[in-house]
Amino acid sequence: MKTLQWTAISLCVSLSMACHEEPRANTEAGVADGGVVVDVPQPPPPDGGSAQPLETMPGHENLVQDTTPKRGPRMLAVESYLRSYMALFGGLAPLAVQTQIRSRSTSLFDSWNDYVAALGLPDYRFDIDRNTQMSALMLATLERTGIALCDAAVLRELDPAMPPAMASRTVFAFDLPAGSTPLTRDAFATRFDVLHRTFLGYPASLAPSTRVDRFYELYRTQSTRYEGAMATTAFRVRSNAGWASVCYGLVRHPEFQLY
Amino acid sequence: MTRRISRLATLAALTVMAAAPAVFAQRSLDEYRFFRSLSIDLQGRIPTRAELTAFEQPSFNAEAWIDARLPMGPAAERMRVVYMDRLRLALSTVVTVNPLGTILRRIPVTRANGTVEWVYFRRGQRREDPAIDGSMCFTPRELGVQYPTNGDVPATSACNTPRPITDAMLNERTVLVRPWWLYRDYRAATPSQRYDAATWQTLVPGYQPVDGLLTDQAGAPVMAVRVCREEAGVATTGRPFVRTVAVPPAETGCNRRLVGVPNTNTDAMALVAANQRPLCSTQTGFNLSTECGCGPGLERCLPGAAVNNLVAGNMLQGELRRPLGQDAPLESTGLNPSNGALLWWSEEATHFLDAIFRDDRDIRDLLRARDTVINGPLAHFYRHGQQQSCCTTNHLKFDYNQPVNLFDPTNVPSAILQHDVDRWTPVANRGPLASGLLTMPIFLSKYGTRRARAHILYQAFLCKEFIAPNVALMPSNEPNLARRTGCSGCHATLEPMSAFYTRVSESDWTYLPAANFPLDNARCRTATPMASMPSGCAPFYDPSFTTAARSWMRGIYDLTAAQPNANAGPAGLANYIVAQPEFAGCVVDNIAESLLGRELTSEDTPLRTQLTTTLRSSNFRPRAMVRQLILSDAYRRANNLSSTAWREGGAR
Amino acid sequence: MDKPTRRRFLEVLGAGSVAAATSSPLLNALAQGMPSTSTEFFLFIHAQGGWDITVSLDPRNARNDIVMPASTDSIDPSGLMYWTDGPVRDGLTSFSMVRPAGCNIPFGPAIGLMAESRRFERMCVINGIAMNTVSHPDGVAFSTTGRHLAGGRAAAPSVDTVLASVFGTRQLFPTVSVRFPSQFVGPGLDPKALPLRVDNIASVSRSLTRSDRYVDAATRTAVNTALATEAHEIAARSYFPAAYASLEQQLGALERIHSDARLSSLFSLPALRANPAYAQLFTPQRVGPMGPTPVTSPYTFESNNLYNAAFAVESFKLNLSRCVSFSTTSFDTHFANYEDHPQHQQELFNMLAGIIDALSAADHPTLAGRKLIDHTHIMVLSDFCRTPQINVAGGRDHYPNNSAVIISPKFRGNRVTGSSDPGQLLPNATRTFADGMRAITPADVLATFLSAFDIDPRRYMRDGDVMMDIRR
Repeated sequence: MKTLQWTAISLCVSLSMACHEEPRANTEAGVADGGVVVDVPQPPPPDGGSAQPLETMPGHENLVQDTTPKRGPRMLAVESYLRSYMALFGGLAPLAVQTQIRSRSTSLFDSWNDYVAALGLPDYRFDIDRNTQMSALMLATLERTGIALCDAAVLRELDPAMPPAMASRTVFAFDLPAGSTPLTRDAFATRFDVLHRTFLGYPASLAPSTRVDRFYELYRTQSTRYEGAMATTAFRVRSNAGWASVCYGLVRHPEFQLY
Repeated sequence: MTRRISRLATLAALTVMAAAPAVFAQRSLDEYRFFRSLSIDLQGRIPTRAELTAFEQPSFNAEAWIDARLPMGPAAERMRVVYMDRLRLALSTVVTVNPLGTILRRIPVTRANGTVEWVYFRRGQRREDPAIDGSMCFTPRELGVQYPTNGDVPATSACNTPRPITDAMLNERTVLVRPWWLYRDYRAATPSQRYDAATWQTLVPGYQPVDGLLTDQAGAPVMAVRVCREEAGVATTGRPFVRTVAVPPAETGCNRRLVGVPNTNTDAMALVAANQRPLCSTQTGFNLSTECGCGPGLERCLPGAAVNNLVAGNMLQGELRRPLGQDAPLESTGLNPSNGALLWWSEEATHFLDAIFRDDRDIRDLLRARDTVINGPLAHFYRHGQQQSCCTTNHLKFDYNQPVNLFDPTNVPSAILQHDVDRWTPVANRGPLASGLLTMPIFLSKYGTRRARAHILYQAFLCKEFIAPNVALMPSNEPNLARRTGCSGCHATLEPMSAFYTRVSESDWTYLPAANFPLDNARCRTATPMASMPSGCAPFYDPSFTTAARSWMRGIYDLTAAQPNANAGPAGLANYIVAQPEFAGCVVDNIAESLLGRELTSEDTPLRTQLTTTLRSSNFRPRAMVRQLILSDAYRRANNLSSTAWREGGAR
Repeated sequence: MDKPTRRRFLEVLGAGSVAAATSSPLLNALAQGMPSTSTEFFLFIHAQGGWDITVSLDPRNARNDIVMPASTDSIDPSGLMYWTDGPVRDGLTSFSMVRPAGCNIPFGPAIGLMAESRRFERMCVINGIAMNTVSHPDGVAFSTTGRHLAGGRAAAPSVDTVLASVFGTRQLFPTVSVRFPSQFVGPGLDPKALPLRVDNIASVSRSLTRSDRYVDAATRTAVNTALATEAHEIAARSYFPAAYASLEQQLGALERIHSDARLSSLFSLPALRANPAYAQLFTPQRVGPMGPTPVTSPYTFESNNLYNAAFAVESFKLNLSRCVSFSTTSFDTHFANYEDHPQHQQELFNMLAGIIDALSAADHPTLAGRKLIDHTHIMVLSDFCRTPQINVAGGRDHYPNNSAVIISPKFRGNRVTGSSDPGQLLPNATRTFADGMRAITPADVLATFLSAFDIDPRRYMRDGDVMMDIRR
């Protein structure tokens, strides 16, 4: 049941490296509602107030105690984002990346100087602090740069009639079967795993169970749209728009931007 | 007994797995996330697929992986960013660095044959002919053009009818020089290693003069530049010039010179009487001697591809800032000498910080070390530019005509040339007055006042803030803020710290030695300091602390209390800061908060204590502390999983 | 747990709410106990670096104790509209006070066009604000949040963030901060009020540009839908869910941004410049007996900020933003650059006059027949003021006193409150607060401002008393 938000919640919307969030009291229902906090009254101490082992308390016999330290996510520093971006371009310098992208289409990318401030880069010259809180503008900029990266990667590694050698592919390090029919779910999953490792740093098999299906659905619907000429694309292989979509989703994924 | 199962693989497990010949078990999600965090924090980027593959091997040793990366550039950069974010050592182009003695301007001169040629000159250059003394070596009458002090002649100007200059006059007043910006071997008798864009990329990476310096008015490659004769002087010292001929009556209208004729006979005669020849790299030499030029190959001076522009126009292609370093520029734009100076000053601090963290040096070196890292443009600045701040007429009144430098120019390695833009060379010893960041021009300019310098160090290295008590500020005649009601709460601490910079000029790097500037100067005493101070005193001695019985240097709030600090100088402040009990903890806080992504709380006290102990026991070399931190539970086991999700394995 | 669907995404999109589609803004407001006023707009201008109030708001034209007035020796009066030679002392010529007919506020010569066309009737000047600091970061924090820095960090939210949190969460851009020291700190703030911090307006347009060469908008929306759902699921499993919840909400905002065709002109500098509604802003004019004449001194220091000013008015007209804040170029004139300080301040006040005129001509976006000027509230503040003495380099240093200007129909105009002593320019204790007789502090100014909009200052501010007498 949805409930009203309580302003007593000490929520800090911060992805800051320096902002400490007050942990909230947690309940199963509270978590599922995504924002409700209900204080869990502690059971009264046993007679005499003496401590007893956790596992002797009813309902706690098999409950593993979570003693791990808790910490809110940190935002990927803009310098790290840029270096990761360059690495995904095969280690090219930023200006070379800019040139390469714009050689494909000047509408895909402007210049790094247009984006770095929005991405949170501090400007010591003007005493502008590093921005460690995600905003809609930052998301918009990440979308802009992420789309450019992915489109360039598709054009470089998937789209050519003679794709480059596998060893030189920084993003789409897999082959696609002949033909442009959307892949089956299993065929997609093995290739998605490559991208998942590339961007998020771990196998897709360890991701939430809904992830592969969600991205497969994204891939399948978008591939179908462009393959079926329901939308226009300049990709040579129209269905590659599906893979581009998957790439967009991963380079802008919360687990990519936060760590 | 309930079986407690830790769902998180420990680091020990990782290494045990590496040693065991058993079947490889897939890494857990937390292990992957830990590895990704390590990559971001120690390599400055997400891990590559190849690195992930290596991580997944049974032989992977996390500690060895960490140890291999801690000494590398990206890890050092990570630490550097922590301090640069606090210190913000960069200046906007609102700040200009255009000392007259190092800026070469140029105007087009029409020759008798109708061709137009650039002639370079320094505004303020001394010449024996009073008609051109302090100005360009051709008068407005001779040129037929009246150039403004800044920029080009306005399109609507009535004073723009170029007259040809005869070859005889051109040869009398100017010479051709093969300048440093075109020749690598500019010091040779006949320089021949002329700039070539293709080959010089390898020879001197990063050096790229703008096109306007490479071609002449007709578009032909420039092999030599024409410069006013005095500017081509190569002497290292110069005889002070005493004018003995009368200054002719001023011209009028379009023939009027817009820059006044210098009148420095008094200062010049004083130096002559003392048998002194000022160095040509100093402002004294530039201001007082006709023999002081730009040196061999015009090496003391910086050109610009513009017309008589105050900022001399652009000189090099480069960037205004380098957030990713010189290997990853984000832009390519023209840099004039001023913008270049601002960039290199900031880069010096960056490279200095990187060196300390990369080499795991004592972090106190940030404040105390005498070494630095410089490139070619910085070498130029320290050889020639820094001395252009001294000495002015006011300095000369205290017999100070030969600056004592925070960075001794003789310690600049002679092998570094201005072209070595991207070649950074360590300098082991800047000199006895040098002290870490505290005496670098970027720090002294960014934090121009003595109090600002002390304040930022208090914040960044002691993690403390000056918070004023809620006390009403009442009108008071007490000049000593360390005693003044309402101010003393902060200034009782701030004034003594500021006093360490008594002998370093504000917004400048000019050092004021004790031999010339006693802390209490009898010459500057006066009963009416607010009305007027004795000539030359006000810039150095504070009217608020001047009476008939005393006159204290600016920065002295109490002679007895401040004297030790003033004499100790910036190095004394460095020693004071690092000796404070808060210093080590502040280092830990700064670095730990950055790596953990949160402020340390009271729950972190054991960790904080442990890290501080490690830092101290390693002689303040931070690597051991950083290693300990990233191997601590607070870093490697920290997660953002609700307990329910954690129990479910963190993923599904 | 909800099955992630596009339907759910659109619910989030439509409500723009972090919590759930069923948590309406009205219910939110009731839960918070706040009236949901959404017809007012707010503009904050930070006079960066510390301004010299002796040439404008707290003018001094005579030597007195340590006060050294601006004179023809220390400043360049040639571009000042209101410089008239005044008292001469010690061989120096100072200025005559500026007192337009009907004006209760003594101005200095830098007041510019605010002294004309009775614009001063809208001004509530607050002098003698006790800063207790001369540090830039601390002065900025104190002026904008009402609290000094704590450990180098802001201890309270800035006033624009508070207002955006209370009134702006339904706007596409609750608060836009162009180099303004906005702070999102502390409890009780709506996550949607996170300031949109930008370096300059034009850069926003480049970040919002999209190419349809390879994929179209439908694809991008599909990706955002998937990402929002991912964020939602991660939040549900997180100990600290706020970051992911915020991401989910911001992805929704992003879709709204992309779908709004008005934004292309809003963030376009050429479009703002070409808009006839802002002609007067970019080319100010004086209205005299012979009709309007251009101001002879063009903008030198604040020419870029004219675009920010135009953007603010335009975003209000389009009802896209509740708060806009920006900072001027620096007034931190320690050296010979003080020579141009009054000219620079004149540009600030001329820009303010242009903003007032533009708001006076602009229709309110939701209140028929009303003009924006009657529903826009402006505050101009600075780090602190500058020393009454002129230093050896010809400039003025930092000083722990300050002034502020409020232009708002909810405040009494054409008046000054607070004062500083004549000899040392220090804040006077001019009124009795809850803690006794003392000078005004920035916390009092901000608390009073918030209270004018029925916001309980204590919800967001630890300090500060309300000065009811300056409110209407």
